[in-house]
Amino acid sequence: MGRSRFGIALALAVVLIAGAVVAVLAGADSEGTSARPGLPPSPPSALAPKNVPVGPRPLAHWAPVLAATAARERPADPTLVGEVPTRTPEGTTNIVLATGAAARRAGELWVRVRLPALPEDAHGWVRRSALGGYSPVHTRLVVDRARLAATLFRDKRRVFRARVGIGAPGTTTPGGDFYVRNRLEKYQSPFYGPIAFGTSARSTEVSDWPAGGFVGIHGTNRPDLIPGRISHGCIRLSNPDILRLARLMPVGTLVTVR
Amino acid sequence: MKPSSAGRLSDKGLALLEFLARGQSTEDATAQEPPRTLTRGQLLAGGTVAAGAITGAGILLGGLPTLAVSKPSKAQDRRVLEYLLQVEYIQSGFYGEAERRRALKGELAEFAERVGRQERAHVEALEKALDGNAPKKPSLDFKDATTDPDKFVSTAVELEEMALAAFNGQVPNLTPQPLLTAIEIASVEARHTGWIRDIAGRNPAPRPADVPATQDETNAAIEDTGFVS
Amino acid sequence: MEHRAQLSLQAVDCDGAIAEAVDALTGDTRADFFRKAVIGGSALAASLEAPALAKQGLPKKDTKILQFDLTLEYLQAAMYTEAQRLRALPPRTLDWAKVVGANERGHVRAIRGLLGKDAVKSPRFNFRGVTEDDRAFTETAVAFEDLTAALLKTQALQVKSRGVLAALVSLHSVEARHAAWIRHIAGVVPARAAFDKRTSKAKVVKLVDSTRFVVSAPKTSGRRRPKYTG
Repeated sequence: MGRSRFGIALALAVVLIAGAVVAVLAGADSEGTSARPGLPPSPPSALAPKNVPVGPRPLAHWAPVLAATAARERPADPTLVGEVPTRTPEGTTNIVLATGAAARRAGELWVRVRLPALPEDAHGWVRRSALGGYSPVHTRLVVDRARLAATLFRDKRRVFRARVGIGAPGTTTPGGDFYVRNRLEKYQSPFYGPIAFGTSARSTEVSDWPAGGFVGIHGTNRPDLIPGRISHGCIRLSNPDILRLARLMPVGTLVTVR
Repeated sequence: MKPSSAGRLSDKGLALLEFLARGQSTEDATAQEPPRTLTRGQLLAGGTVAAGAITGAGILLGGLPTLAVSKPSKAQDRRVLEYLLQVEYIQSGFYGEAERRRALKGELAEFAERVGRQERAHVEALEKALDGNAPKKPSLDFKDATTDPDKFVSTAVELEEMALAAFNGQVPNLTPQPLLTAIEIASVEARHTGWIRDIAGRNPAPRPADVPATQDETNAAIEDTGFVS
Repeated sequence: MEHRAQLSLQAVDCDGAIAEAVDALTGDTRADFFRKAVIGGSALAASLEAPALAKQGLPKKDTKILQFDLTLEYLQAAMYTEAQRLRALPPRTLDWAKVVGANERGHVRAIRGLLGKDAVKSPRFNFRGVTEDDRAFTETAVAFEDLTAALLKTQALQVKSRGVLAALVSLHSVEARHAAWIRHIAGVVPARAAFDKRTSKAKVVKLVDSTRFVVSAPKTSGRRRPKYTG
């Protein structure tokens, strides 16, 4: 292109750009000239929320115990169902399951909870103020003692399955409804594998086991014994399986032993 | 936990959202106005910033045809307040007449009285903000909407929703001082809306975010009522 | 129809924290309504650990404002969600808690989406019986709807980007609808005054802290050697 034509093209471009800038600025100024333009619309919102349903109903709620208390048969009733300490034997915060039933007595709120007991979890009422915040539970571990298998369900969907070792005759794993109370790891004990979960289940037969005789779910240094009826009541998984389960099973998970 | 991507709009998404709110298709809107390109500086000064709207080059590509980027100004404030005042005149006229005609009973009478008082306070505040240069009051005929209980309820729902949408449509266009007054009023209009919808047996809060109305939409809604002659 | 001039809250919660919070909000004064929930000060402030990187596209100021909003929305959403899930409240209350909760959860999701990497995590909550007692729930819900609407007015004056301003305006009126609706159900006048006043972030922090709803996670894991039956 010749120099003069380039110059003309450049000048044209400048004029066009200037015109466009003026047009944009004029458009941006909502004052208008002869005809009274309408008011500008609201700037578009940076959000477009949709309402969100609550999702699947939790199986339960768990709550930490903030103040040592005792569960009563009825709200503010003198009849005790069981003690509710603040700590588990492992030193973690004790937890109970909240059932959703609540009642006021003499200005205080009482709630119905599920707590560890023999032969299986019991229900009782405690002061709401003894508990911390509620966390929903969406998972259930079903332990089938006949098939020697444990299956984890999340909202009714199966998400994990493994063969297990359970209690030997005479030190059987108790049947019933329980829940996971705590989780231990980074301890040095190959007998229990890399991770161990404590449940609310207690052995009915082992009366003198230290620390209450609570049934655990843990790994093992004897995977050759799984599946089998070989433990003192605990539910044993191979170490790879317990690690897999640990990624899916939070504290509070319901444990149903059939 | 990964945050979901719901709620974040691209520039195209924004444009689409605007069109949908107005019941237009994207094709319609594109045909009406030539696309504009705005500089980053202009957008930040007076326009809208949406997630992802500004490219690395600093120019908004593709244009947002209906994004009339208006810069708030005192002159525009006046026009907004005049418009909102018209809306308040209609409401205060409606409730005032309902009270005078004394046909309503029970909670509807209470509603007309309390809300009417509050709408009159809104009128006063907006007139004051216009330094007494208020526009002419419209000529209103509510027929039996101020006496028949069912018509009163359905009309009140309509007028409160219309007022709220009108306010929501203009609050973001105001300068700070009138913006505060307008949002204090909008808040109470929203309460009126929730209240009367509950009385009417309708869901008081059917969506998580309220949709603003343009001036055209509000004027069309007013025309549809047939109350203004 | 009966209307109470202002909310009066019985101490259905453990220690009157809710009563104080609601009274403070409705204008009555209390000698001392500020309490520390956790070691070291404001639990609410401590929970706002914003990620290091600011998101490009949103002015930094707007990001901070939205992060604070998100925390308040987390609280509201969590309260309605827990109420709906526990089912301890009467069906009539659960009906409106379901609708209002769906809106608040929508707010949470939308603001999280907009903030992206800058979305703050939800605090943990202990609602201390509020989700299990009808009166406490209703009054606390009203208090937080009023509070959120009041805060959003202040924030509308503070945000830089107009898209975020439009967003806050659209959320603000929904909170006010909720407030009026719940008051109406509770038999309290839905719109007390012709103008709703704004409130400051500092006041919101103080009020939320005084409820002690924001708590730290309990220690349910440990490192001790297991003593299970084996």
